[in-house]
Formats: sequence, structure tokens, C-alpha cells
Amino acid sequence: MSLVELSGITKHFGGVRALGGVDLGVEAGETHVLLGENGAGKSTLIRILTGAIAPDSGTIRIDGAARVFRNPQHAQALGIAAVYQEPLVYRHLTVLENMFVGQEICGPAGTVRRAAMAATVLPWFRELDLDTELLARPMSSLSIGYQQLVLIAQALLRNARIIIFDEPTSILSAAETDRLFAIIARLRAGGRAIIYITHRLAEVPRIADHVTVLTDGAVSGTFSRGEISEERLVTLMAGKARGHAPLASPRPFAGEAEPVFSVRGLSAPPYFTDVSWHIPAGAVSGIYGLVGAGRSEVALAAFGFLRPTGGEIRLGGQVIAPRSPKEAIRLGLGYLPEDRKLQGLFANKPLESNLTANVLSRFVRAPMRLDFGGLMGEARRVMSRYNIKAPNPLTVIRTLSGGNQQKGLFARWASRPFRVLILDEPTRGIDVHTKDEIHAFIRNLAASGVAVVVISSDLPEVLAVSDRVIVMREGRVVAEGWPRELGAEGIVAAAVGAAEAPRVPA
Amino acid sequence: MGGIGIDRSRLLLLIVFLGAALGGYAFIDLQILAAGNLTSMAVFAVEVGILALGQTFVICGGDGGVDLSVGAIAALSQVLLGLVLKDRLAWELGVLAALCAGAVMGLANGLAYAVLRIPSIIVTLATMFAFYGLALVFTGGINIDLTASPPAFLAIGQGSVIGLPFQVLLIYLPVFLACAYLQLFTAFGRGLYLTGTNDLAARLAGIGVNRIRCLTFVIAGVLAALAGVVSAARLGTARPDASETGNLLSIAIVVLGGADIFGGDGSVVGSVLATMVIAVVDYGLSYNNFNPIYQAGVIGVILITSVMAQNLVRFRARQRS
Repeated sequence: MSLVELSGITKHFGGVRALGGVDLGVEAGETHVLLGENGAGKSTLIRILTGAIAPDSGTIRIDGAARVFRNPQHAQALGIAAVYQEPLVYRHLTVLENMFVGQEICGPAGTVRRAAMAATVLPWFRELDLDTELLARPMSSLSIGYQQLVLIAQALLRNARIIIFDEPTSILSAAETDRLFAIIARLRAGGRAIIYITHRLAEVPRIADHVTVLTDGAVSGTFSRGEISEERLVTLMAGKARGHAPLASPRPFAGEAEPVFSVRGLSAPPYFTDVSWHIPAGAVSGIYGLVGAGRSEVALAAFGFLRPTGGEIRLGGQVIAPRSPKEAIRLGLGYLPEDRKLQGLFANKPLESNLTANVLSRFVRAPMRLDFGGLMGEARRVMSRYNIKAPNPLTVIRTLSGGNQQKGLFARWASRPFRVLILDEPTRGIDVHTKDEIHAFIRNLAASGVAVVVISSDLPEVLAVSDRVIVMREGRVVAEGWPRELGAEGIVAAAVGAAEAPRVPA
Repeated sequence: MGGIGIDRSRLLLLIVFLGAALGGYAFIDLQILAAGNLTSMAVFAVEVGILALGQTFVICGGDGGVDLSVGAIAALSQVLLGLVLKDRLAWELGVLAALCAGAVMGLANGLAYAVLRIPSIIVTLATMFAFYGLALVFTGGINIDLTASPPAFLAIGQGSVIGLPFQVLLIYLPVFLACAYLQLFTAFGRGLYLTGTNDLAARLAGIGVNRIRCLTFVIAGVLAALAGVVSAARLGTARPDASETGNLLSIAIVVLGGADIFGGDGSVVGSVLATMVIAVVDYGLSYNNFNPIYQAGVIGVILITSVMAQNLVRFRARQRS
């Protein structure tokens, strides 16, 4: 019998399916790796398993008994703990205080009994080979790797039997990673169930007893240790994309005249190093890679938001070095940022203000007066052109659906005559219908002669819209070519760093 | 914005406050509604009212922006004006010097915030002490008597035009209209609202966020200097410790006027109404011989009541929808 068993777990956010009937069983004393690209549903599954959100349907069994988590504390009490890539800690409190936060051992007068607390954690610190001298240090003085270990100790302290690691190595050094793997092995040997989430293929054979590949919110395969092969995993991760044929007839442009927009040898450590993009006019260039591959940062550098340390940016043959987005926009470069809420939306302002934010100067009349009639007219034109559903241009954008908000931000950029338009995750978190609509708009933009760049972690999206694909991993370009010749597997393999990744053409 | 940048419920609330205050005082003594009293209220309201107009821009820019130094700028500008007048130079020159000084002080605040990236609350706390300190140094701590100044100058604070105080009709009203125009009808005003709402999104949309925020401090500085000029003309003296209550009272007025303290919402229209509320309440307390020590407390109560009333209205609205 599995220590923890999920069956038929589904979850929808708005109209978007995050999980569609996931089954997963983890035994005591095994490490079960959950593998999948960004957006495959790993995070949602973990949030369900830790009680942060409730599934729409499905059951969770612990020791064979069906359980419904009322809240995260309830899940914790049942023995589930999670360690995240960015440790959630109270930086100014000591290690000891962090471990007991909210559950301090107190004397009769409510005073905190530090000595008793220190005595309690001692065995767990020994088990993890941690120096007890650390207990009195403030959390902020510890490296991320040690902070993670403290949180593991905390999980043990709370009698966790099921420990979830959510991409724990993404910001660790190689030595820290080795130490973490050794500890995970020890925890497993102690009879705990480990769920280990990653998108790093190379880690799988090192720690996995079982692997489950999650694709597009569904399990596409579960293997035991002996059945694991890199090739097989890449095929499964690319699975949903294989059904999508790459564009039937990409526009013939390769090897043509000077690309209208290019970056050469551009660097901005630690985000990216020596990156070259050649972006032709009249076509869509897809930039694929996992989150953290440095794709957005290259775009932000070209857009004047991030200062590169080396390399050059060319637009129409001229070397440019925009010092601000304002200047980049004036040069004819547009950038739709990836995070709608944080970087794009003026949430409590009308749709009209949101649609026209980047072209206000065009609507200035003497004396300094904004042409409100013109702005409203422009907003109406854009709304009908991009099929944005809202009662009128003065509707506050926050009240619209996610899909319409995203179309609004997309239209803010797409409706202007830019020579180069970089679209960063243009359809993240929106429904399928709106997604298709935006894809059609993107193809139209390219057909009208714009040099379009689509940055996406969504492989089907990249294949659906791109004439050409550039793959990035860990701040470098690792593959480049026609979607057909690379193939879905080739693109995924390059992005996750599998051995058979295609070579970068010289 | 196509509107007045303030929501209706807040507008209504301020008008109710104003009516209640005037009505309440009139119930005690109808004489408070006499022309002479209303005029006095207006005269007292002008100086802090001008400070509040400038403060509105700074707060609207967001990022926790406030200008704690507006009172100090008023004082130092007033002192510079006094020094010019004492030397028997043209009074127009003195006013010009004061306004320029205000602009420079505002620019110093703005640059320290935008270029050196020091939080505005710290920048302006420091400059508040610095400007008051300079005013003391320049005067040796002694008030400069201006009662012998040219009558044309003194008229700024003491004269009247068609029966209304000069500074209400020819200074406050035009300045308010200019501010409202700037905030509600220009690209600067639109950029300011967007910056205050989400500065990262504004920057990525090509809006000059730093320049806009810097400008708000310059506007606040010039208006503070103007307030300093008016109060010098009204009292016939330049004091190094002028407008000490103005630093914080102007912030209270802006908040009472419906501005979001985190930026992006609110307008000078609300600030004007809030100024009137404060002026009426304040004047009425003195007029009815309430102990002046209660005045500060009453303003606090009004501020809290207004926020609670607003929350109640929003809560109701949410329940209905």
C-alpha cells in the first residue's frame, strides 16, 4: 500500500484546465520524481498536496485512508511538508526561532523556552550533520543551501513522513546539490516518502526510484528506475507538442538579407552570456526555453530596461543602445512583458488608459492637453480590431476576464507600427479560444512585415506560430533552426540539456 | 481621465462633512455664516490649501511618495523674500526669488529621490530639517518685519478684489485650476496616474517614471514657496519657523481628499474640498472658544471617520455586487 496516493485529481482555474485526472502513488522509502516542463501542472499538484488549494475532484489517501485537507496546517499535521526552491524563511529571526515559528515551546507564563527548543531539535540536526552552533545565527547569515537544510530539519521536527522538494537545486551550487542528494537518500532510507519535482533531466537517474512525467496537466507515463532513459523522457515531455505539426510552410527567409533586428554576443551576467539572435522581418522567431533560461532578460536588455555588459544590438543595420524603454519604443521596438499583473496591467484604471499607455505623446494637443476624444476613438478601434470584450473603453480593466486583459495588453503593443515586436509569454494562463485568437494575430503581424519574436515556455505555442526557433538554456543559445528540422523532441532535448541535443549551427 | 479623478462616494462624504460642520456651528451661533467669518476661513485655508495641492501630486506618484518638507520650503522661501525686501529691492524680485528657491528645493528633493534612490519620506524629512535650519541661519532666528513693505506686495495677503480676499480669488483659484488642468487633462497627469498605479508597468510602457516623479517634487516646491509668499504678505512678517504645521497637515488633507496614500488615485479636486472641511472645522472651534488644544485632535477624528465611512461604503458596494 502506498504511503500517499492521489487518484483522479482535477483542477481548473477559470476556464483553464491545470490538472485533468492525475494519479500518483508514492511508497514509503522511495523517491518519486515528478518531471514536466513549465505549466505542466507540477506546482498545482503540490499546492493541492500541501493543502494550499482544494482539488475540484479526486481523492488523496494517506496510509490508505481518504483525506480532505482543510488547510495547510491540516496537511502538515498529517505528515506532509514541502521544501521550495526559494526557502520561505524569516530572515531576521535565528535558525532556532525559524524552526519553531508558530509552535514555540513555552513556559507557564508564555515565555519561550529556548533551551528546551534547542534540546528538541538536537537529534534532527545530528541526522542532517548540521552544526548546532548554527541555531543561534540569524537566518539571513546562511546561504540558500543551508536555509533549505534548516527547513528540512523543520519538516523532520514536525514529523513529516512525506517530504516534497520543489525544484530545490535550481539555485544551488554543485557541491550544495551533492549534499542535498545525500540527505535525500538518507531520508528515504529512513522510511520517508520523497516527492521530488524538477525539469532537469540530468538529475533523474541520480535520485529517482520512480519517475512520473506530467504533460499538460495529465500523467503521460510512470517508470521504475530500470526503465528510465533520457530519450524516453524527452519524448514524453514533448508529447503534447508532437500532435501539433510545425507550420506547414514556413516563410522562406533563412540566409536572406541582413536581419532587421539582431543581438550579437550580448551578455548580462548572471542572466545570459554571449547571446546572438538574428530576427528577420516578416516572420515569427520563437524563443523556447525553460523559465530562468535568460530569454526575457535578453529582451529586456534590447528594450533598454537592463544594461548589457557586452555585445551589440542592431536595428535596421544601425547599432542601438537604448537607455530606457521610452527610447527603445521611439526606435521602433516593442516589448509585451511576461507578467501580466506585475509588469503590464494598470489594474484599477480604465481599459482606454491601458490600451494607450505607450502612445500618449501622439495624442498631445496644444496647450499640453490630451485629446480625450482621440484616445477614446483609438481605444474603440483597438477593441474591435482585437475583439476585446468589454462594455466600453472606460471599463476598469481589472473587472475583465483574464483572456480579455491579456488581449488588451497584447493590443497595446500589436496595434502600433513597430518594426520589431517581442512578445513574452503572450498567452500564459488564458483559455484555449483566446490563445488561438492571439496566435492568429501574431501570424498576421508577421505577414504585415513586422519582425516578431515570441518568447514562450509552451512548446505547442512555439511550434504553432514560429517560422524559426531559437532554444536557450541557462543563459545561452543552445539550438537554432527550422521547427521541422529540430522537431519537438529536439527542441525539448536542447532546452533541458539532454545529451542528444542538436548542435548549434556555426 | 474624463472625470475628476475622485470617486463619487468620497465627493459626497466631503460635502456632507462640510455641510455638517457649517450646520453644526450655525446651530450654536448663526453668526458664523456672516460674510466676515466665511472670508476669514477662506484666508486661513489658502496657505495650507496651496501646500496640499502640491502634496497631491507627490502622493499621486506612488512608491510611498510624500513631501514632508513643504512647510520648510515655505519658510525658507519666505525668509529669502524677506531678505530681498529688507534690502529695499523690488518686491517682484523678492517673489521671483522665493518661487525660484522653491523650485530648486523641490528639485533637490526630486533628484535625491529619483537619482540617488533614497525613499522620499527620508529625503524630505532630512530636507525639512535642513531648510528650517537654513532659514534660522539666514535670519539669526529673528523674524523679519515686512510691515513697511510696498503696499502692492502686502495686498497679496491683505487686499481684496470685488469683495473677496485677493489671495483667494487671484492666487488660490487660478493655481487650483492650473493644477486640475495639469492633473486631469495633460499627458503629464495621465502619466502620473499610471506611474502611481504600477510604476514597473509604466516604465515598460515607455513612460518617464523618474522624470514625472521628480517633477512632482518641483511642483510641490514652487507651490510651497507661493504659500510662503502669501503668508508673509498676510502677516507682514517673514518667520524662519513658518508653516510648521503645514508639513503634516497637507498630507492629512490629501488623504482626507480621497487620495490613495500608495499613489495612482485621488485628485486636487478632492484636496480642495478637504481643505475647506479642515478650514471650517478649525475656524469654528476657535470661533466658539473651544480650547485650541482640541483642534489637532478633531482633525485626527475627522481623518479616521472619513476612512471608516469610505470603507463602509465600499463594503456595502461589494455586498451588493
